[in-house]
Parts: sequence; C-alpha cells; structure tokens
Amino acid sequence: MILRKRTMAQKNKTKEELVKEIGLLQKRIVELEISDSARKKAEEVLIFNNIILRTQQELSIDGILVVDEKGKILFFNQRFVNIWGIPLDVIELRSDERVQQSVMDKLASPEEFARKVKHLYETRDEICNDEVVLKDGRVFDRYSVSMFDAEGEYYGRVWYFRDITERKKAEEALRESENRLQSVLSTIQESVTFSNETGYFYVYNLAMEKLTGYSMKEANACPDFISLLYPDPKNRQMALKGIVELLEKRTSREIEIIITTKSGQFRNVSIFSSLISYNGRNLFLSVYRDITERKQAEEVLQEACTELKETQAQLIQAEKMEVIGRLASGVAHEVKNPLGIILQGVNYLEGKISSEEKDMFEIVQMMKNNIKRADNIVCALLEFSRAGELNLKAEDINSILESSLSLVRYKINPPDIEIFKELASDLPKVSIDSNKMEQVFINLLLNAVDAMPRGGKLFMRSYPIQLHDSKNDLGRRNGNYFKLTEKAVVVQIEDTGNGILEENLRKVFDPFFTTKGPKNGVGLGLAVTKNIIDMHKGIIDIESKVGKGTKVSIILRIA
Amino acid sequence: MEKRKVMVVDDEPDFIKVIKLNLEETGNYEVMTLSTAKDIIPEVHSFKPDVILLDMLMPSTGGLDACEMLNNDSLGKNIPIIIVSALGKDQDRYAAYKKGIIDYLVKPIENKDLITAIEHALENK
Repeated sequence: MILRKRTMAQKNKTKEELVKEIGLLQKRIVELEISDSARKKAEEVLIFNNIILRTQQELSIDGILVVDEKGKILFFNQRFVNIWGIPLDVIELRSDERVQQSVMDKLASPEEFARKVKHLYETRDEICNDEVVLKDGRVFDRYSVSMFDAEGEYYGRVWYFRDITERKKAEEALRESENRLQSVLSTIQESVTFSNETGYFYVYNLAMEKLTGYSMKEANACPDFISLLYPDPKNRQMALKGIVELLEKRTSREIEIIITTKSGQFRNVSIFSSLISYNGRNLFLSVYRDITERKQAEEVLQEACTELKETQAQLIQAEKMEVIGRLASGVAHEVKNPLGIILQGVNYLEGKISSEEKDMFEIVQMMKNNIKRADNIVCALLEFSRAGELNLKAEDINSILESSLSLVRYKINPPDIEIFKELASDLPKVSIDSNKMEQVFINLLLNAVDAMPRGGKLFMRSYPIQLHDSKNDLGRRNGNYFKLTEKAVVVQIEDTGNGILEENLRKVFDPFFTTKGPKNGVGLGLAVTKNIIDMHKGIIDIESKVGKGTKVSIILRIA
Repeated sequence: MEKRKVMVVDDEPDFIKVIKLNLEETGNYEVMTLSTAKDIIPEVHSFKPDVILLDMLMPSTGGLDACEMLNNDSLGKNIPIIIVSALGKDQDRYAAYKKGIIDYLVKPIENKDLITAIEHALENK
C-alpha cells in the first residue's frame, strides 16, 4: 500500500528529483548495512568477552559468588560449590540464604559468620577481607565488596573465597621455624647478626643487644652504625677493611677488634663473618664473641709472664753478681799479689834505665799502665763482693748529687759541656747508702761525659713523683719494688751525647759489657750501678737514642 | 845519713825480694824480709826496725795476728806498721786500723807511693 502510494507520488516528481531521491536511498541503505555490521561485531566481542570472563571465573582459584540486593544468587563458579561442598539442589535454588544455611555446620564459628554476613549486607560501603575458619581445620580467605553502577545504585555483593589452608600451614611452619631460630639465637651466648651491604640487620639477637647496648631497632635506625660501634678510627678502619676483604676474597674470616658499647665501654670482640649470596645480593652473617675477659686474662698472664721473666732475669743477674762477687773476692788477692810484684819489678827496672832510652822508657810506662788496668778490673770486681753491705740513712739526694759532681769535675774536660742542674728544692729525704749512691752518680756522670767527646749538655734533675701506671711512669724498667700511688724521688742524669744502640740497650747492665774500648772501660760501671740500685730496692731505667743522647732515671723510695 | 830499718813481712818471696831491691836501691833503707810472721817478735828484737811493712793474708799467722803480737810487745808496740796487702775491703782496713797501724796500702803499689808512706810513718813514729 505504501509502495503503491509512493509510486503514485513518484509519478508526480521530476526525473532529477527522483535521481536525487534514489541517491539518498542508496546512501541510507549503505548506512544501515554498516550499522548492522557494527552491532553484530559488538555482539561478537561481547560474547567473546563473556566467554573469557566466564572461563576466568571458572578457572579462578577463588570461589566466586554474586548475590543481588534481594539475596538472589546471580552468579557462582564451580570452585565456590566445590570448596564449600554445597549440594547441587541447594545451589540451584539460587538463594543466598539457603546456601548460608547449608554451610553453617561446616564453620568453626557459625554465629560469628552469620553475624558478619548480615552486617556486610547491611553495611554496603564496607569492604571485607578476613579469614573464615572451618571445623575441619581449613581456612578460607574471604573478600567481599558491594556492586554499584555509575549512578551509585546498589546491585548486591560479590564474595570471593580462597582456600589458604596450605599457605597458612606453611606460614605457621615458617613462624615455628622462625620462633625456633629466635629461641636458639636468644639462648646462645654468641651475638649473631645477619645484615645486608647497607648495614641493615635482618637478625640481631639478644646477646648482640646485651653486648652492644643497642637494640636492633636502634641499630637499623642509625644511618652509620659502624661509626657508632667503632668510634675509634683505627678500629673502624679495621672493620671496614674486614668487610672489603670479605667481599673481595669471599671466604669466611675472623677478626679481633674493639667495639664501643652504648654506655661507652670498650669490649674486645672476635667477629667471625661469612658472606652469603642471595638473589645476587651480598648478605653478611656475623658471630660476635666477647673476648674482653679472655683478653684481660691474657694481659694479666702476659704481665705475669713478663714479671716472671724479669724476676728470672733478676735472679740470674743476682746469681751472676754473687758468683762474680765470690770469684772476685777470692781471685782479687791472688791477682793483686802478682800485680804488686810486677809493679815493683817494673819500678825497679824504671830506675835502671836512663831517660835517653826512649823505647825502653815507653815500654816500662806501657807495662805500668797495663798493670793499672788489670788492677782496675780487679778493683771493679771487688765492688761486687762489697755489694751486700748497705748503710742506709735518710739523706738529701741533692747534696749527694752535688758532691758526686764535684768529684768528677776534673774529668769534665771538654770545655763545651754545659751542666744544667734542675734540682727540686724541699725534696723528701731518701733512704740510701750515701757512699754507694755517690758511686752510682759518679758512674752515670762519667758515662755521660764519655758519651760527649765533642761537648754537649749534661742535665742533672731531681723531683718528687707519685707513681701512677707502672707501665707508663718510665720507659724501660727492671724490677719493680714500688706500689702504685707510692711517693718517691726521681733522679735523672741526661746527656746529649752519642746515645746507645737499641741492641746494646739490653746489655748495658751486663757485667763486662762496654762500648768504650779496653783502654777506657772495664764494663762494670753500670753493672755495679744497677746492683746498688737493686739493693736499695729502687728502679733504674735507661732511655737512649743514637745521636740524640741518653737519659738515665732512678727512682728511690722516700725515707 | 843513717839508713832507716825496714822490716818486710810477706809470704810472697818474689814480692819481698823486689821490695827489698827497690828500697835498698834508694840508699836510704836497710831492709830485712820475713816470709812468715810466726817469729816476728824475736826478729823485731833482733833487727829493731824503724817501720814494719806487713801483709794481711799469710799462712799460720796473719797480718792482724802479727799486729796483735807487736802491740803486746814492749818494743813492737812503738814500731809503726804499714799494711801492704792485696785485700782492699773497707772492713779489712777498718780491722787493721783498730790494731793501731799507721797506714794501709793495697797492692799493686808504686814504689814511690810506698816510699812516701814509709817516710810519713817514720815522721810520725
């Protein structure tokens, strides 16, 4: 009918109008064809997407349930049915309420579950992410969120349930393992740390907290914990060197180092470190052992050992002296008699030769000189045999120093030897044998003069002292009869002469050791000196540097 | 000038021999030597020395014993004694001085020093 009407109308149109109309109609036909194709295509895409979505939902490890605002189940996947064990006839009812009822007897806390579900349906804005524990021990991870459209209209809720029983078991096992590790780490006496290259600690046990005074939190919060633990640059350098070597050589190593605790105490520790590579990262496992007490014990042992050695050396020295003394005493008479005869004989010959016979005269003089030399040796030896007798009196050490100096003044030949006296006034009196102490000072003054053949400075000092640290009062000492904090008097004789070689410094007190040559020294001066100081229970100490000079210090007890 | 008489008592034969030679060489002394002090008193009475040089350590009668003997003798107690000994310890000197000796010389001794000591002793006789 319509077609007929059109045909009638078309009859009244011009050809151009008809052509135009045909063109429009053709265009319209094309547009309709395109629109139809797009729609079909969109439908295909939608179907395809639905298939993907459905497949995804079916393959998901989560059980999915979608419930509308009236409690009707819009969607569920097979996984949901399986993990909850919902009978087919129940799920087919598509009722959320029936489904809930069917799972109630499976739950460890059904009331709580029901309360929470009710609450979530009532509180649409709330997102839920928690765990549901079942009677059979399984644990489900529950995630639920409400569905809204663009205008905010509520469409119901989506529920996801994931069986995390295995994961929970693994977590529990891990937690137990960690607890066991922690209990082991907190029980052992060694301090253990596990850290990365930036100094972040993963493990920092109780012993480490006790050792350092810093907690793991404090250690990790500190940007430069190494500087905190090793404020002394020497120790810090050692620690850093250890880390560098560990990274380079990649072998376990042990260092002994001093750490400073939070309270400022120093502790000697032995650190055993290993490098562990994990996922391309370097991790350090370190075991710290507090060896402070061991070190202290070692030091005490070392000191005891040194003391023992010194005592032994003193005993040997004393024994040597005693033997020499006894020998000297016995031998002196036997040697001095023939020397007496020889000298008298030489004197006789001396009177028989004229002054013109120069060679003869010279030889006789030589013989006399050597008789004198031999006699000097015997005399020096005799000093030992006399060593045992002390006549102690309270004496002013300065006046003995002065008298000793006056006795050797004649020997101070080099005019350019300057004498500096730094004698403290009001010194307490010392308990000494003045004759023997005079001999000591004479020996030391003569040694000082002999050490300065080209002149120099000779210092004589005396001053009071209160002994502090037995190690630091004086450089090298032999024997120690003093108590710490005891008051004493120090006498020093110092020269700016040749000095003594390091290797000779140990031998200077040995009898017959001399560097002066046979004509000038017997090698008993310092041996006698030491013997006398030992008898006074004093301390003698020699410091010397070749080319700089020698300083002899004597500590004497107050009367 | 009359020679002064010196008695030398020492158990070392070489020593007394050379001392005798040296002292007599000066022309001032007449020297008598004894190798033991055992019979010193009769010898002193016989020789009448102006000074006695006495050794300390001798067999049987030592220097100190000899001093004692001389001190107990009417003639001997006025003769100055010089000890010439190899012993040089203070206690030896002290013991000898207590016996009234005038000097103590320790061997080896130069002849000139010995003569000085003898002359000093003679002056203070």
